[in-house]
Amino acid sequence: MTTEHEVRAFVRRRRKAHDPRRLSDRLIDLYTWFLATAIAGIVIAPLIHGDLVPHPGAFLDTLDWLPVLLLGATWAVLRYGTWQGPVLFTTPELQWEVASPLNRRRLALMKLRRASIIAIGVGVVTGGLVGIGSAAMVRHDALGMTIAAVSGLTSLALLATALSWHVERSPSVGRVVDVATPVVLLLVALLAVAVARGQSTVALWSGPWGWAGAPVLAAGGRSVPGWVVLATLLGVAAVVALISAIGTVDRISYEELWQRSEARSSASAALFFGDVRAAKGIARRGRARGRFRGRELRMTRVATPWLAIVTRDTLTLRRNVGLVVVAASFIAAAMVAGVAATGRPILVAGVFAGLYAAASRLLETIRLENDRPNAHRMLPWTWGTILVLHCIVPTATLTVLIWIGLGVLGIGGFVAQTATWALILVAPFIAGAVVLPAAISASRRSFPIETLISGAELGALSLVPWLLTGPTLALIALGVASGWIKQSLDQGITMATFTAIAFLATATFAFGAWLNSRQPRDQ
Amino acid sequence: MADTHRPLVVAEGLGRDFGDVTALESLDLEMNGSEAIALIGHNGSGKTTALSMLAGRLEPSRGTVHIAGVDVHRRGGSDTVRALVSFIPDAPALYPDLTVADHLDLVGMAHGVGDAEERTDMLLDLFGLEERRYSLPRELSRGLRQKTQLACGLLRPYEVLILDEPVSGLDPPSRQALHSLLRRVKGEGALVVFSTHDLIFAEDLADRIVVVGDGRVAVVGTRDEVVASGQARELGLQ
Repeated sequence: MTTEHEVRAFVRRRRKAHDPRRLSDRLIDLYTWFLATAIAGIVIAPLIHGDLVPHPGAFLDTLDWLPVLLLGATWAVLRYGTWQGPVLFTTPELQWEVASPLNRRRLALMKLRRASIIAIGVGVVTGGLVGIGSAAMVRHDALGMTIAAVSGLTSLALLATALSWHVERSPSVGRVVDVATPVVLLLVALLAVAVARGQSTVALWSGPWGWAGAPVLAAGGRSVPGWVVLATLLGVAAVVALISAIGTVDRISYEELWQRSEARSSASAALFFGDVRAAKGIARRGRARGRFRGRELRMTRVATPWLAIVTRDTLTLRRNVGLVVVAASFIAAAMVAGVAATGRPILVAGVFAGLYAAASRLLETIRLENDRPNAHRMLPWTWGTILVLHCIVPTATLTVLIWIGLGVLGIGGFVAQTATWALILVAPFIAGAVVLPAAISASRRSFPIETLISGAELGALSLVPWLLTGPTLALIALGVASGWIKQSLDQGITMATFTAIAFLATATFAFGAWLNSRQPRDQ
Repeated sequence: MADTHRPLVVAEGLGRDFGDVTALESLDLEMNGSEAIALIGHNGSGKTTALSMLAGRLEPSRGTVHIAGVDVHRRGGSDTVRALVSFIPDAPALYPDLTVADHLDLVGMAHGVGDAEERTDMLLDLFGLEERRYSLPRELSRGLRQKTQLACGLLRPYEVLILDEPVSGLDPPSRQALHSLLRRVKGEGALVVFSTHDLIFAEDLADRIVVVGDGRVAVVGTRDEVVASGQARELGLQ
């Protein structure tokens, strides 16, 4: 009977035979690695000489933060287990290998072994960097610190991988990880406070993330009581978790493996096209495991087709209330910056940044078109008109958020009553002058990653005009409007208000006309 | 060896929910060797869900599936499924960097098929894939990829053959060839369970037809029984 190893070797051999990469491709790979290593060497060399750190002793204090970082990293690995995990098969592997009479346990063990080797690699590289870097900074026993860092981080990486497997195989453990994330974030904050207040021992004893950091500090010359115990505890925990993972490696349903495989290929495809948001959505749905189906909000029938996009965008924002909440927090930040800007003109930039960021969040609705550039053919309008229609709900929402912010400032006495009323009148036009330029920047397809790295279509440079057009237009509109208001204030607040409204309305109309003339990139 | 006195596959109260959507309410069915069973119904009626649960690919929300007396969704049940059931899904799942022949070699190897070479040649010939033997999936049309998947699924040994929409994307000669092959497979003692929208294909091949509508099994019976029940007509499937 054929063994799993023979089958895997067969697949590898045949794959290699069909690998279209030529010698020149392999040489380019080799050169890239050489270049990366050389650059890393150039960066690390001065550190090893210790010339960059005027007070080497003080650097040791920064290592106190290691447990905080490691807790974050460990939790990230566990969360990865909620939708992917260390034992992952591709869809063809599931169809033709896992579903065959081959020993499923051994097939899964191969995957777990691969994940463990990657964990060891990550532990050795990061531990090596931390150890060598730290030893160079504190000018202390380089070998000891490197060994301590490598062994600590490798053990922690293995422990996290093994625990991630338990998260992967057990939906109930996955739910615990999902639900406990805010608590862990709070723990990270508490540990950060403890470290900032000089109570680093608390962080070191708080869990495996601290146990991994203790030997490094001890090797660096810091007095760490019980570090041997902590290092031993970490080693034992890693070994026990790994043994337990190996013992349970076949206890996962085919369905679970299939779902993870499909999520992986979808997320990879999304990332290949630089669509990080889509990949995040896939991860979120993968984590939900069918438990949360989103709010059951349905689109209502509209009286006229012109309201279709407005209704759909409203529905999108109602389904994704988080977008409005984030936009509201940006507006709040803009308001705070505006109040504090008296005497500190630099903070005016904060007002603009807050407004533009809020508009960008609310314009997420436009992705309905951007993600499917050909879908507009089903609608009775041109691509440009559809984009303009998509600006209505974000503009209205941004206006309401600005009104609320101004109301709070007015009631709090931070802005004079007359100015508050004037700004409330101008607010819809400010919103329009920010949302429409943001839509000009947003109306593009997902940016293919190969364009970014290959230099085709000017490569990354082609991102620059796309990124800058929106903010530049909005900045010009709001900047000129502010200037006119200042000049018109001599003729009274009413005149200044209507001057601003007239200018911003004209600018908004011009932006709308430009947006209306845009063509989808696929045409 | 399967016990010849009891049904080869028994589904009892088999159902599956996705969140609060019931994909399949309850399926009760006993199936024997040398029998062909067709599942027909509209898109989203629950056919694929039913087949996936019968093949042990999907965990049921309720009910059980026994194959050769073994509960396939219990611990250890997957060994029975992998040994006895060949499941061919409707979406081709092929290695992007393996040729058609590589796929068949892999299946022959993983399942320990003794006469893999002859059977491979026969299946490639049957599906008109001979000239595409050394093509990679990206060089094949969807229909040819589907044929490759069918050839792989038919190469391995099985007692239960489950096919999800096997004729979708197939040209008429391949459809006819598949029909003849499935008839032969059935004659050799295997149980063939398939879903299809092709009512003529279902009528010609199936001994019994299961009509599924909105997650419910509307009627199970021979072609004449299904016609007499009027359920298929109600669902617009006749």
